[in-house]
Amino acid sequence: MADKKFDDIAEELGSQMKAVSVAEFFKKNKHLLGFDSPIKAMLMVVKEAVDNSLDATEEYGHNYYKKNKKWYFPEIYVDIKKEEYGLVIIPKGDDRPLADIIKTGKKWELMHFGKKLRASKVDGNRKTYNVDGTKVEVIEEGLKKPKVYVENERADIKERTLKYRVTIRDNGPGIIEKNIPNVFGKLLYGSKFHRLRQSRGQQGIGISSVVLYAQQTTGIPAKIISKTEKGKAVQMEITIADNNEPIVQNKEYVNFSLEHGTEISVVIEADYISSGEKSVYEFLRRTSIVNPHATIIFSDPNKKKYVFKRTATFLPPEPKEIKPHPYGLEFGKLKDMLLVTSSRNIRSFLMNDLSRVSGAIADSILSKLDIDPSTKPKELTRREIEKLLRALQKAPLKRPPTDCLSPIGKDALKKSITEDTKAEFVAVVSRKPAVYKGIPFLVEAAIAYGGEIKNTGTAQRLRYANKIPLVYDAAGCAITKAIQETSWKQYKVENVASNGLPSGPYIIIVHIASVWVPYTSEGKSAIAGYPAIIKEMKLALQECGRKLKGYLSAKYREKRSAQRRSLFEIYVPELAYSLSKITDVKEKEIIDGLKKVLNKGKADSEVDKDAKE
Amino acid sequence: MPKNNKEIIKKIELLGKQILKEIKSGENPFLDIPIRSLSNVYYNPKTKMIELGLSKSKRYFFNVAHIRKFVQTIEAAATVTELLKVDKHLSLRQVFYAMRRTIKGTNIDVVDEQTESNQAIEDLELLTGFAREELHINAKKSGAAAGKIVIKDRGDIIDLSKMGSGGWAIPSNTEDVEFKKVDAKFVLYMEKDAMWERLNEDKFWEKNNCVIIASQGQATRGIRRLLRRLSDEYKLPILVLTDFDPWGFYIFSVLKYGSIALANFSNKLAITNAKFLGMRAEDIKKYGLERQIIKFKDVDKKRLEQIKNYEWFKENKEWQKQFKRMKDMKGKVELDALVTRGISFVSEKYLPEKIKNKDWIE
Repeated sequence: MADKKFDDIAEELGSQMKAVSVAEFFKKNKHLLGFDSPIKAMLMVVKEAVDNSLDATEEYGHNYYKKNKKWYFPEIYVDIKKEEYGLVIIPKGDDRPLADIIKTGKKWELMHFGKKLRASKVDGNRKTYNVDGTKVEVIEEGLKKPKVYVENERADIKERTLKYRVTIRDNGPGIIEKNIPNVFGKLLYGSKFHRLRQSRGQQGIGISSVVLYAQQTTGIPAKIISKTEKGKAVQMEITIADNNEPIVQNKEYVNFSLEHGTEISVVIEADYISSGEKSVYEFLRRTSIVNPHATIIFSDPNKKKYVFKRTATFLPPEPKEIKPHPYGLEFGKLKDMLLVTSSRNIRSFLMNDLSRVSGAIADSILSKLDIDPSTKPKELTRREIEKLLRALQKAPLKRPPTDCLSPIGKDALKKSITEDTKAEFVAVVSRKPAVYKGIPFLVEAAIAYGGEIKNTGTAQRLRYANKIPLVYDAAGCAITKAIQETSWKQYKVENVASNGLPSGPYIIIVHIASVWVPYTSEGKSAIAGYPAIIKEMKLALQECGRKLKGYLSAKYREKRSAQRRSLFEIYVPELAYSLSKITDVKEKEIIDGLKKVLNKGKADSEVDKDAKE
Repeated sequence: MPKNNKEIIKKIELLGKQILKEIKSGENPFLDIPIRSLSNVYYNPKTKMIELGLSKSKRYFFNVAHIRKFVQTIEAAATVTELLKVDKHLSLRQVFYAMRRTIKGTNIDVVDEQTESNQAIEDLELLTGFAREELHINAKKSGAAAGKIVIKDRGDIIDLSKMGSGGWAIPSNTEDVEFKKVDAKFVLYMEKDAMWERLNEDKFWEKNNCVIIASQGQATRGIRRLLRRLSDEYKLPILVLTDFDPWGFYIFSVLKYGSIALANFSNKLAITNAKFLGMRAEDIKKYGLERQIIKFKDVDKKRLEQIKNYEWFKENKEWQKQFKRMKDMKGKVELDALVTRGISFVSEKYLPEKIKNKDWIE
């Protein structure tokens, strides 16, 4: 059921954990986990933490509603700060850096190969250092970049890759103290991996990989603060040991600003960009569009604050957990399930651990395969498992239940998009659930047009999976394919590029919700192109297109009719003037008559007849 | 005001009243204009004229594509009414300026170019059935006449045998010219001023008792009307002299059968018994002009093919013979080439011989 690649990683992790260190494993698989460039790493850290926060807070919100009949809404706070301001000294006539200058607090310190150097002479704000026999003088000028002389010559200084502190805080349920180390300090820990339920994270690898990334790039442990309703706020620093076990340092009870919730704070090496598709700002903005029930507050490295306000007045429906449907099963998965099941015999396994297998179907399959229904699930042979899987997939089963999906909802999405884009027209379509390979999924699509949307050439495309924006790998994504395969010309979109993407003041939004989103890779940035999925996406886009066409046609019609009317109005007095000369009838009388004809709408009815000349 | 003017003013007024009626009954006002394109023009073998068909197109006022032309047509009508009332004439260019005005509150002019006012006038001709000249709009005058005929023009008696070297300049409107005395036995029309100068200097019209008329290229409407009236009113044969080339043939064709552009006025302009005197294929051999053949260009060849297939020439064996000879010759011969045989060869030998022998094509 899971993607092949992922199974491989999980297996590798399981089997090789003892032989290979976690650090080594991470280094080898950095690209798969999405930390392969400094800009992307920044985004991944924010994304994984926000994913977790939204999932946890929503779950809390639903429980809260059940108890109190009142809504509780997620509030997520993202804060990025420059942690270290670093400079590199490059001597004149050389292109190799000689040493770094790091700012800690209000002091500048010279670093050489990771070690702080002590000045050999201090003269006011002038400090002299000996760097491997080279004389370096640093003249500090308060908070400004210092001036640096190497062997009495002014040296260049360049800004070094910065370290950032990234903090994400939510008002979720909090995590009980004893679970905190495992949640953040153990890869593949968590309840999400073996369950089928629509959630943002689905592999249990995300947040711990953030901790590991911080540990690898800066060596600074992740700082976690969490408080449950009943418990005390606890703070701990976590790193991950080579054997994939959490190491906890400096645990203490602290004051927390919220009644309950969780905060993670990491120091990472990464690049921060302030705008564009791959920026944190854009990611959060897009997240807020499809999560209208959440408020997201973002404080950027320049301490500028952005608030993406909640626009919905209720939470989206709670996704239900479902059991795997046989049509989507794979051999390995079935084998694993048989091993860990609590069902006593194979008959009850089929009925209870899988979706849509009735007693009658279970009996007929087992008798055909000559398997004793009372066989213990663990005892099935490899051959029997293979035969069982084949028989299950041929059996006439009902489609899986679809109440496990949680769409954003047409109205909530429309309101949110309108609020964010200030478009003059928004069409939203929320499709009924469909199934690919036994896995239920659902597509929502929207098109926003005009208003404050700028025409920047190709239409903006916002891709989402389980309410999280997809940023990278647009070209390889099923959503892009579905957009390209929709014939926009048909829907009055005037300019369509040769690759099939519309051009103009449009924003196209496609969201896929599923208990298992088929990503093309572990970086979770593109949807695999299953025909059933592309088909649903196209149907959604076409429906949006039809609505758009209705709007645009009316708009063009109105424009044309206004133009025509004003043209008619210009010429009415002219005809009256000439006609009055040849008939001696007063101009005013003729004008009044013509205006009457125009207002009767007669003018338009015969326009296109006999237009030839 | 002349009687004719009143009649035209009345007709234009009726046109306006019809539009007012449509407006009053709440309809989108329209004009029924005969279609002036090739598709609505045909050759009528009975009348031997190119005539306009019955197809009409409706031009609506409240129609984006029509509105401008509609206003231009009515404005042209207003301008003409004014001209007729004061009994004055304007040229096409002057009418353009008379119609031109800027629409209030815009930078749009009622007419931008003369082609627009020209078209409006043509439409008015079709709508009223009166020719431009009758509507008191003149084209540039062109052409000269001399010969044994006395006329009255705007009250002046003019003897065309006493016009010196320049001849009588033919006005663009010859409708109101009165013929006082007609001694001439035929009319010779030629497409070249130079030839006319030659014949006038040689007093050809006196020696041969005729009228000679020329214009450069196609005959103007004024000339055509003059020729037609001489043919109708005095039964004078109209003899035509052009270069031996497709363009010359077409000048004759327009005179005799009418033109596509003015098919609506063929009944007033076509001279159905005009005769083509020359230059003809046989003349070239007979008068030894072979050395004077000018080689055809591609346009000449194409034009010849077109003319060959005109309906009115198709069944005419004599004409088809001319076309075939010309095609074989791959060239043309100008009237002026006759000078190679002597300065006055044309007036002393070529023309008298041909006329005497009735050596022409119908």
